[in-house]
Amino acid sequence: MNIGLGYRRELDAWIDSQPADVDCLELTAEHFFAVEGEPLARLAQKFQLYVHGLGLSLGTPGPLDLPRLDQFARVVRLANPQWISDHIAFTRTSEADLGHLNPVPPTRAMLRVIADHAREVSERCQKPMLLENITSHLQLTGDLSETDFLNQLCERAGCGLLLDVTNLFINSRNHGYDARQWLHAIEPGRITQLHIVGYSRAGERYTDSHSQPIQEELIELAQAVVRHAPVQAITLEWDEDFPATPELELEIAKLKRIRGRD
Amino acid sequence: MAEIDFITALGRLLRDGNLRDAYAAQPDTVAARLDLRPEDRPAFRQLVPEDVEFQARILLRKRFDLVRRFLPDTERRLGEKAWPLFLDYARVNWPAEPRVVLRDAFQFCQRLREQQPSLVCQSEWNRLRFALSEKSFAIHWQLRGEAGGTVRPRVQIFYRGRSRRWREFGIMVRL
Repeated sequence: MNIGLGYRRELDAWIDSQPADVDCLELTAEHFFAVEGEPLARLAQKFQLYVHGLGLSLGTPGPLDLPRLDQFARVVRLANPQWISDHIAFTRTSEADLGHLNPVPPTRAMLRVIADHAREVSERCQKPMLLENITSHLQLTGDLSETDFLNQLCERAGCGLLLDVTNLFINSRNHGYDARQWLHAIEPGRITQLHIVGYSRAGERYTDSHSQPIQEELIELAQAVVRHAPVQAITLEWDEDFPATPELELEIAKLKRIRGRD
Repeated sequence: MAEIDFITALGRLLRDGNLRDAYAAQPDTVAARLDLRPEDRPAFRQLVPEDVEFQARILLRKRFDLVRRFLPDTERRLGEKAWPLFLDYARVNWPAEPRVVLRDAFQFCQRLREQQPSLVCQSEWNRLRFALSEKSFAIHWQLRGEAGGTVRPRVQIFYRGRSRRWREFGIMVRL
Protein backbone atom coordinates (compact mmCIF):
# COMPACT_ATOMS: atom_id res chain seq x y z
CA MET A 1 0.00 0.00 0.00
CA ASN A 2 1.38 3.39 -0.99
CA ILE A 3 1.60 6.11 1.65
CA GLY A 4 1.47 9.76 0.75
CA LEU A 5 -0.26 13.08 1.00
CA GLY A 6 -2.16 15.69 -0.89
CA TYR A 7 0.34 17.97 -2.63
CA ARG A 8 0.07 21.56 -1.36
CA ARG A 9 2.35 24.41 -2.38
CA GLU A 10 2.94 25.23 1.30
CA LEU A 11 4.61 21.81 1.71
CA ASP A 12 6.74 22.15 -1.42
CA ALA A 13 10.11 22.38 0.35
CA TRP A 14 9.47 19.25 2.42
CA ILE A 15 8.09 17.33 -0.56
CA ASP A 16 11.06 18.43 -2.65
CA SER A 17 13.37 16.77 -0.10
CA GLN A 18 11.70 13.50 -1.13
CA PRO A 19 10.87 12.15 2.35
CA ALA A 20 11.71 8.45 2.56
CA ASP A 21 8.26 7.37 3.80
CA VAL A 22 6.28 9.18 1.11
CA ASP A 23 5.54 6.99 -1.92
CA CYS A 24 2.79 8.97 -3.58
CA LEU A 25 1.23 12.39 -3.99
CA GLU A 26 -2.32 13.35 -4.76
CA LEU A 27 -2.55 16.47 -6.91
CA THR A 28 -5.64 18.63 -6.73
CA ALA A 29 -6.43 19.18 -10.40
CA GLU A 30 -7.79 22.72 -9.89
CA HIS A 31 -4.49 23.85 -8.33
CA PHE A 32 -2.75 23.04 -11.63
CA PHE A 33 -5.22 24.47 -14.15
CA ALA A 34 -2.92 27.46 -14.80
CA VAL A 35 0.38 25.62 -14.31
CA GLU A 36 2.69 24.54 -17.11
CA GLY A 37 3.83 20.93 -17.42
CA GLU A 38 7.32 21.12 -15.93
CA PRO A 39 6.41 21.04 -12.21
CA LEU A 40 4.11 18.10 -12.83
CA ALA A 41 6.78 16.19 -14.74
CA ARG A 42 9.23 16.85 -11.89
CA LEU A 43 6.80 15.44 -9.31
CA ALA A 44 6.02 12.45 -11.53
CA GLN A 45 9.72 11.53 -11.61
CA LYS A 46 9.82 11.25 -7.82
CA PHE A 47 6.40 9.98 -6.76
CA GLN A 48 3.46 7.88 -7.86
CA LEU A 49 0.79 10.50 -8.65
CA TYR A 50 -3.01 10.56 -8.42
CA VAL A 51 -5.12 13.45 -9.74
CA HIS A 52 -8.05 14.50 -7.57
CA GLY A 53 -10.81 16.88 -8.68
CA LEU A 54 -12.87 19.22 -6.53
CA GLY A 55 -15.24 20.75 -9.01
CA LEU A 56 -16.36 18.42 -11.80
CA SER A 57 -19.72 18.43 -9.98
CA LEU A 58 -20.59 14.88 -10.98
CA GLY A 59 -23.95 15.12 -9.20
CA THR A 60 -25.33 18.00 -11.25
CA PRO A 61 -28.02 16.74 -13.64
CA GLY A 62 -27.32 17.62 -17.26
CA PRO A 63 -24.05 17.78 -19.16
CA LEU A 64 -20.67 18.14 -17.46
CA ASP A 65 -18.97 21.54 -17.54
CA LEU A 66 -16.88 20.83 -20.65
CA PRO A 67 -14.31 23.65 -20.33
CA ARG A 68 -13.60 22.44 -16.79
CA LEU A 69 -13.36 18.84 -17.97
CA ASP A 70 -10.88 19.99 -20.63
CA GLN A 71 -8.73 21.61 -17.93
CA PHE A 72 -8.99 18.52 -15.74
CA ALA A 73 -8.00 16.27 -18.65
CA ARG A 74 -5.01 18.51 -19.43
CA VAL A 75 -3.67 18.10 -15.88
CA VAL A 76 -4.19 14.33 -16.13
CA ARG A 77 -2.31 14.21 -19.42
CA LEU A 78 0.63 16.13 -17.94
CA ALA A 79 0.75 14.21 -14.63
CA ASN A 80 0.02 10.74 -16.03
CA PRO A 81 -1.44 9.51 -12.70
CA GLN A 82 -2.26 5.93 -11.78
CA TRP A 83 -5.89 6.95 -11.31
CA ILE A 84 -8.14 10.00 -11.07
CA SER A 85 -10.91 10.89 -8.64
CA ASP A 86 -13.63 13.35 -7.70
CA HIS A 87 -16.48 13.49 -5.21
CA ILE A 88 -19.96 12.04 -4.96
CA ALA A 89 -21.38 15.53 -4.71
CA PHE A 90 -22.45 18.64 -6.56
CA THR A 91 -20.65 21.98 -6.47
CA ARG A 92 -22.84 23.80 -8.96
CA THR A 93 -26.43 23.73 -10.11
CA SER A 94 -27.88 24.71 -13.47
CA GLU A 95 -28.13 28.23 -12.01
CA ALA A 96 -25.01 28.92 -9.95
CA ASP A 97 -21.60 27.79 -8.79
CA LEU A 98 -21.80 27.03 -5.06
CA GLY A 99 -18.03 26.86 -4.67
CA HIS A 100 -17.93 23.77 -2.48
CA LEU A 101 -19.09 20.17 -2.16
CA ASN A 102 -22.73 19.46 -1.35
CA PRO A 103 -24.40 16.08 -0.82
CA VAL A 104 -26.62 14.25 -3.30
CA PRO A 105 -29.65 12.09 -2.41
CA PRO A 106 -29.11 8.30 -2.62
CA THR A 107 -31.64 7.71 -5.38
CA ARG A 108 -31.56 5.57 -8.52
CA ALA A 109 -31.95 8.69 -10.63
CA MET A 110 -28.89 10.29 -9.01
CA LEU A 111 -26.98 7.06 -9.37
CA ARG A 112 -27.47 7.25 -13.15
CA VAL A 113 -26.38 10.91 -13.25
CA ILE A 114 -23.12 10.34 -11.36
CA ALA A 115 -22.31 7.02 -13.00
CA ASP A 116 -22.73 8.48 -16.49
CA HIS A 117 -20.59 11.50 -15.58
CA ALA A 118 -17.88 9.35 -13.99
CA ARG A 119 -17.71 7.13 -17.07
CA GLU A 120 -17.45 10.22 -19.28
CA VAL A 121 -14.57 11.63 -17.21
CA SER A 122 -12.76 8.29 -17.11
CA GLU A 123 -13.11 7.79 -20.87
CA ARG A 124 -12.05 11.34 -21.62
CA CYS A 125 -8.93 11.03 -19.43
CA GLN A 126 -8.24 7.39 -20.30
CA LYS A 127 -7.65 6.62 -16.62
CA PRO A 128 -9.44 4.54 -13.96
CA MET A 129 -11.72 6.69 -11.82
CA LEU A 130 -12.42 6.64 -8.07
CA LEU A 131 -15.39 8.31 -6.38
CA GLU A 132 -15.12 9.82 -2.90
CA ASN A 133 -17.68 10.02 -0.09
CA ILE A 134 -18.06 13.53 1.38
CA THR A 135 -18.90 14.98 4.77
CA SER A 136 -22.54 15.97 4.85
CA HIS A 137 -24.39 17.89 7.49
CA LEU A 138 -27.58 17.12 5.58
CA GLN A 139 -28.94 13.61 5.83
CA LEU A 140 -30.59 13.18 2.47
CA THR A 141 -32.99 10.34 1.86
CA GLY A 142 -33.72 8.36 -1.27
CA ASP A 143 -34.85 4.98 -2.51
CA LEU A 144 -31.48 3.38 -1.58
CA SER A 145 -29.41 3.21 1.59
CA GLU A 146 -26.11 5.11 1.33
CA THR A 147 -24.07 1.88 1.20
CA ASP A 148 -26.30 0.32 -1.48
CA PHE A 149 -26.04 3.58 -3.40
CA LEU A 150 -22.22 3.51 -3.26
CA ASN A 151 -21.95 -0.17 -4.19
CA GLN A 152 -24.34 0.19 -7.13
CA LEU A 153 -22.75 3.47 -8.20
CA CYS A 154 -19.27 1.93 -8.36
CA GLU A 155 -20.67 -1.08 -10.23
CA ARG A 156 -22.56 0.99 -12.77
CA ALA A 157 -19.75 3.51 -13.28
CA GLY A 158 -16.99 0.90 -13.32
CA CYS A 159 -15.23 2.93 -10.62
CA GLY A 160 -13.39 2.32 -7.39
CA LEU A 161 -14.17 4.01 -4.09
CA LEU A 162 -11.92 6.63 -2.55
CA LEU A 163 -13.03 6.15 1.03
CA ASP A 164 -12.47 9.23 3.14
CA VAL A 165 -12.16 7.67 6.58
CA THR A 166 -12.49 11.05 8.31
CA ASN A 167 -15.70 11.83 6.42
CA LEU A 168 -17.12 8.41 7.32
CA PHE A 169 -16.26 8.97 10.98
CA ILE A 170 -17.73 12.50 11.00
CA ASN A 171 -20.96 11.47 9.29
CA SER A 172 -21.38 8.48 11.60
CA ARG A 173 -21.03 10.71 14.66
CA ASN A 174 -23.24 13.53 13.34
CA HIS A 175 -25.97 11.23 12.06
CA GLY A 176 -25.74 8.57 14.76
CA TYR A 177 -24.79 5.33 13.01
CA ASP A 178 -22.08 2.71 13.41
CA ALA A 179 -19.14 3.41 11.07
CA ARG A 180 -17.91 -0.20 11.16
CA GLN A 181 -21.35 -1.56 10.28
CA TRP A 182 -21.44 0.94 7.39
CA LEU A 183 -17.96 -0.18 6.31
CA HIS A 184 -18.90 -3.85 6.23
CA ALA A 185 -21.86 -3.09 3.96
CA ILE A 186 -19.43 -1.74 1.34
CA GLU A 187 -18.11 -4.11 -1.33
CA PRO A 188 -14.44 -4.47 -0.22
CA GLY A 189 -13.04 -4.87 -3.73
CA ARG A 190 -14.16 -1.33 -4.59
CA ILE A 191 -12.15 0.44 -1.86
CA THR A 192 -8.95 1.50 -3.61
CA GLN A 193 -7.68 4.59 -1.81
CA LEU A 194 -8.18 6.19 1.61
CA HIS A 195 -8.14 9.84 2.64
CA ILE A 196 -7.48 10.74 6.25
CA VAL A 197 -6.86 13.82 8.43
CA GLY A 198 -7.96 14.76 11.94
CA TYR A 199 -11.52 15.90 12.54
CA SER A 200 -12.58 19.13 14.29
CA ARG A 201 -15.55 20.03 16.49
CA ALA A 202 -17.97 22.95 16.14
CA GLY A 203 -20.21 22.80 19.17
CA GLU A 204 -22.06 19.48 19.03
CA ARG A 205 -21.04 18.79 15.47
CA TYR A 206 -17.99 17.08 14.06
CA THR A 207 -16.46 18.90 11.07
CA ASP A 208 -13.64 18.45 8.56
CA SER A 209 -11.38 21.48 8.79
CA HIS A 210 -8.46 19.50 7.28
CA SER A 211 -6.11 21.05 9.82
CA GLN A 212 -5.89 18.65 12.76
CA PRO A 213 -3.61 15.72 13.63
CA ILE A 214 -5.18 12.29 13.07
CA GLN A 215 -6.92 11.15 16.25
CA GLU A 216 -6.62 7.61 17.64
CA GLU A 217 -10.22 6.62 16.84
CA LEU A 218 -9.59 7.52 13.19
CA ILE A 219 -6.47 5.36 13.11
CA GLU A 220 -8.50 2.45 14.50
CA LEU A 221 -11.25 2.96 11.92
CA ALA A 222 -8.70 3.17 9.09
CA GLN A 223 -7.06 -0.03 10.36
CA ALA A 224 -10.48 -1.68 10.20
CA VAL A 225 -10.81 -0.53 6.58
CA VAL A 226 -7.39 -1.95 5.71
CA ARG A 227 -8.38 -5.31 7.23
CA HIS A 228 -11.66 -5.23 5.26
CA ALA A 229 -10.43 -4.15 1.83
CA PRO A 230 -7.42 -4.40 -0.51
CA VAL A 231 -6.53 -0.71 -0.17
CA GLN A 232 -3.78 0.41 -2.56
CA ALA A 233 -3.00 3.88 -1.20
CA ILE A 234 -3.63 6.10 1.80
CA THR A 235 -3.10 9.85 1.63
CA LEU A 236 -3.05 12.55 4.28
CA GLU A 237 -5.36 15.41 3.33
CA TRP A 238 -4.09 18.49 5.19
CA ASP A 239 -5.29 21.83 3.74
CA GLU A 240 -4.92 24.59 6.37
CA ASP A 241 -2.62 25.64 9.23
CA PHE A 242 0.14 23.45 7.87
CA PRO A 243 2.27 21.72 10.50
CA ALA A 244 6.06 21.92 10.76
CA THR A 245 8.13 19.04 9.41
CA PRO A 246 8.36 17.03 12.69
CA GLU A 247 4.57 17.08 13.10
CA LEU A 248 4.11 16.18 9.46
CA GLU A 249 6.45 13.22 9.88
CA LEU A 250 4.43 12.12 12.89
CA GLU A 251 1.29 12.11 10.72
CA ILE A 252 3.04 10.05 8.05
CA ALA A 253 4.14 7.63 10.80
CA LYS A 254 0.44 7.23 11.70
CA LEU A 255 -0.28 6.22 8.10
CA LYS A 256 2.45 3.59 8.41
CA ARG A 257 0.72 2.28 11.55
CA ILE A 258 -2.50 2.02 9.57
CA ARG A 259 -0.72 0.10 6.83
CA GLY A 260 0.33 -2.31 9.54
CA ARG A 261 3.72 -3.53 8.41
CA ASP A 262 5.74 -1.02 10.43
CA MET B 1 -42.11 28.36 -15.34
CA ALA B 2 -40.41 24.97 -15.79
CA GLU B 3 -40.28 22.53 -12.89
CA ILE B 4 -36.91 22.27 -11.18
CA ASP B 5 -35.04 19.22 -9.88
CA PHE B 6 -33.95 18.52 -6.30
CA ILE B 7 -30.35 19.66 -6.84
CA THR B 8 -31.46 23.03 -8.26
CA ALA B 9 -33.91 23.50 -5.38
CA LEU B 10 -31.31 22.60 -2.74
CA GLY B 11 -28.86 24.94 -4.46
CA ARG B 12 -31.36 27.80 -4.19
CA LEU B 13 -31.88 27.10 -0.49
CA LEU B 14 -28.15 27.00 0.15
CA ARG B 15 -27.45 30.36 -1.45
CA ASP B 16 -30.42 32.36 -0.25
CA GLY B 17 -30.78 33.01 3.50
CA ASN B 18 -34.25 34.51 3.10
CA LEU B 19 -35.44 31.38 1.33
CA ARG B 20 -33.97 29.24 4.14
CA ASP B 21 -35.87 31.33 6.70
CA ALA B 22 -39.07 30.87 4.70
CA TYR B 23 -38.41 27.11 4.41
CA ALA B 24 -37.88 26.83 8.16
CA ALA B 25 -41.23 28.54 8.76
CA GLN B 26 -43.32 26.96 5.98
CA PRO B 27 -41.60 24.16 4.06
CA ASP B 28 -44.67 23.16 2.02
CA THR B 29 -45.22 26.70 0.81
CA VAL B 30 -41.58 27.00 -0.27
CA ALA B 31 -41.65 23.61 -2.04
CA ALA B 32 -44.75 24.73 -3.96
CA ARG B 33 -43.30 28.16 -4.74
CA LEU B 34 -40.11 26.57 -6.15
CA ASP B 35 -42.18 24.46 -8.55
CA LEU B 36 -40.23 21.36 -7.62
CA ARG B 37 -40.75 18.17 -9.62
CA PRO B 38 -43.34 15.99 -7.82
CA GLU B 39 -40.92 13.04 -7.52
CA ASP B 40 -38.39 15.25 -5.70
CA ARG B 41 -40.80 16.79 -3.19
CA PRO B 42 -40.62 14.06 -0.50
CA ALA B 43 -36.81 14.34 -0.28
CA PHE B 44 -37.01 18.14 -0.23
CA ARG B 45 -39.61 18.09 2.55
CA GLN B 46 -37.31 15.96 4.68
CA LEU B 47 -34.55 18.57 4.75
CA VAL B 48 -33.93 19.71 8.33
CA PRO B 49 -33.74 23.53 8.39
CA GLU B 50 -30.93 23.60 11.01
CA ASP B 51 -28.84 21.22 8.89
CA VAL B 52 -29.47 23.26 5.73
CA GLU B 53 -28.36 26.38 7.60
CA PHE B 54 -25.21 24.61 8.83
CA GLN B 55 -24.33 23.47 5.30
CA ALA B 56 -25.02 26.99 4.00
CA ARG B 57 -22.65 28.40 6.64
CA ILE B 58 -19.92 26.10 5.33
CA LEU B 59 -20.39 27.54 1.83
CA LEU B 60 -20.40 31.08 3.25
CA ARG B 61 -17.18 30.44 5.17
CA LYS B 62 -15.53 29.15 1.97
CA ARG B 63 -16.62 32.36 0.21
CA PHE B 64 -15.24 34.47 3.03
CA ASP B 65 -11.89 32.66 2.90
CA LEU B 66 -11.62 33.47 -0.82
CA VAL B 67 -12.79 37.08 -0.50
CA ARG B 68 -10.45 37.96 2.39
CA ARG B 69 -7.41 37.25 0.17
CA PHE B 70 -8.32 40.39 -1.78
CA LEU B 71 -8.91 42.45 1.36
CA PRO B 72 -6.11 41.92 3.90
CA ASP B 73 -5.97 45.56 5.06
CA THR B 74 -9.77 45.88 5.17
CA GLU B 75 -9.95 42.69 7.21
CA ARG B 76 -7.32 44.08 9.59
CA ARG B 77 -9.50 47.19 10.09
CA LEU B 78 -12.61 45.12 10.68
CA GLY B 79 -10.90 42.76 13.13
CA GLU B 80 -13.31 40.30 14.72
CA LYS B 81 -16.24 42.01 13.02
CA ALA B 82 -15.05 40.88 9.58
CA TRP B 83 -16.80 37.50 9.56
CA PRO B 84 -20.14 38.70 11.06
CA LEU B 85 -20.21 41.63 8.64
CA PHE B 86 -19.48 39.33 5.71
CA LEU B 87 -22.17 36.93 6.90
CA ASP B 88 -24.67 39.77 7.10
CA TYR B 89 -23.88 40.73 3.50
CA ALA B 90 -23.41 37.27 1.99
CA ARG B 91 -26.35 35.44 3.52
CA VAL B 92 -28.74 37.04 1.02
CA ASN B 93 -26.34 37.96 -1.80
CA TRP B 94 -24.79 35.48 -4.19
CA PRO B 95 -22.49 36.98 -6.84
CA ALA B 96 -23.10 36.15 -10.48
CA GLU B 97 -20.52 34.50 -12.74
CA PRO B 98 -18.00 35.14 -14.17
CA ARG B 99 -15.24 36.31 -11.82
CA VAL B 100 -17.32 35.33 -8.83
CA VAL B 101 -14.72 35.95 -6.13
CA LEU B 102 -13.76 39.41 -7.40
CA ARG B 103 -17.41 40.41 -7.64
CA ASP B 104 -18.05 39.04 -4.18
CA ALA B 105 -15.17 41.07 -2.71
CA PHE B 106 -16.34 44.17 -4.58
CA GLN B 107 -19.96 43.83 -3.48
CA PHE B 108 -18.91 43.19 0.12
CA CYS B 109 -16.81 46.38 0.06
CA GLN B 110 -19.69 48.25 -1.54
CA ARG B 111 -21.92 47.19 1.34
CA LEU B 112 -19.29 48.20 3.92
CA ARG B 113 -18.82 51.60 2.27
CA GLU B 114 -22.57 52.23 2.46
CA GLN B 115 -22.35 51.68 6.21
CA GLN B 116 -19.10 53.52 6.82
CA PRO B 117 -16.59 54.32 4.03
CA SER B 118 -13.61 54.26 6.36
CA LEU B 119 -14.14 50.53 6.98
CA VAL B 120 -12.72 49.75 3.53
CA CYS B 121 -9.06 50.14 2.62
CA GLN B 122 -9.01 52.61 -0.27
CA SER B 123 -6.15 50.86 -2.14
CA GLU B 124 -8.03 47.56 -2.10
CA TRP B 125 -11.24 49.25 -3.24
CA ASN B 126 -9.39 50.93 -6.12
CA ARG B 127 -7.82 47.60 -7.10
CA LEU B 128 -11.14 45.76 -7.15
CA ARG B 129 -12.81 48.50 -9.20
CA PHE B 130 -10.00 48.44 -11.78
CA ALA B 131 -9.88 44.63 -11.93
CA LEU B 132 -13.60 44.47 -12.71
CA SER B 133 -13.50 47.35 -15.19
CA GLU B 134 -12.42 47.40 -18.82
CA LYS B 135 -10.22 50.47 -18.29
CA SER B 136 -6.69 50.57 -19.65
CA PHE B 137 -5.36 53.03 -17.12
CA ALA B 138 -6.23 54.56 -13.75
CA ILE B 139 -4.39 56.70 -11.24
CA HIS B 140 -5.35 57.45 -7.64
CA TRP B 141 -3.90 59.87 -5.13
CA GLN B 142 -4.21 58.81 -1.52
CA LEU B 143 -3.25 61.06 1.33
CA ARG B 144 -3.26 58.08 3.67
CA GLY B 145 -2.25 55.29 1.32
CA GLU B 146 -1.83 51.81 2.79
CA ALA B 147 0.56 49.18 1.54
CA GLY B 148 1.56 46.18 3.62
CA GLY B 149 0.57 47.88 6.86
CA THR B 150 2.46 51.14 6.13
CA VAL B 151 0.45 54.36 5.92
CA ARG B 152 1.83 57.23 3.83
CA PRO B 153 0.77 59.52 0.97
CA ARG B 154 0.74 57.31 -2.09
CA VAL B 155 0.07 57.33 -5.82
CA GLN B 156 -1.58 54.12 -7.02
CA ILE B 157 -1.37 53.43 -10.76
CA PHE B 158 -3.08 50.64 -12.73
CA TYR B 159 -2.24 49.70 -16.29
CA ARG B 160 -3.92 47.10 -18.51
CA GLY B 161 -2.06 45.85 -21.59
CA ARG B 162 -3.35 44.45 -24.87
CA SER B 163 -3.50 40.94 -23.41
CA ARG B 164 -6.04 42.40 -20.91
CA ARG B 165 -3.73 41.42 -18.03
CA TRP B 166 -3.18 44.33 -15.69
CA ARG B 167 -0.43 45.56 -13.42
CA GLU B 168 -0.28 47.87 -10.45
CA PHE B 169 2.40 50.34 -9.44
CA GLY B 170 2.58 52.21 -6.16
CA ILE B 171 4.70 55.24 -5.36
CA MET B 172 4.97 56.19 -1.71
CA VAL B 173 5.43 59.95 -1.31
CA ARG B 174 7.44 61.61 1.48
CA LEU B 175 5.93 65.07 2.03
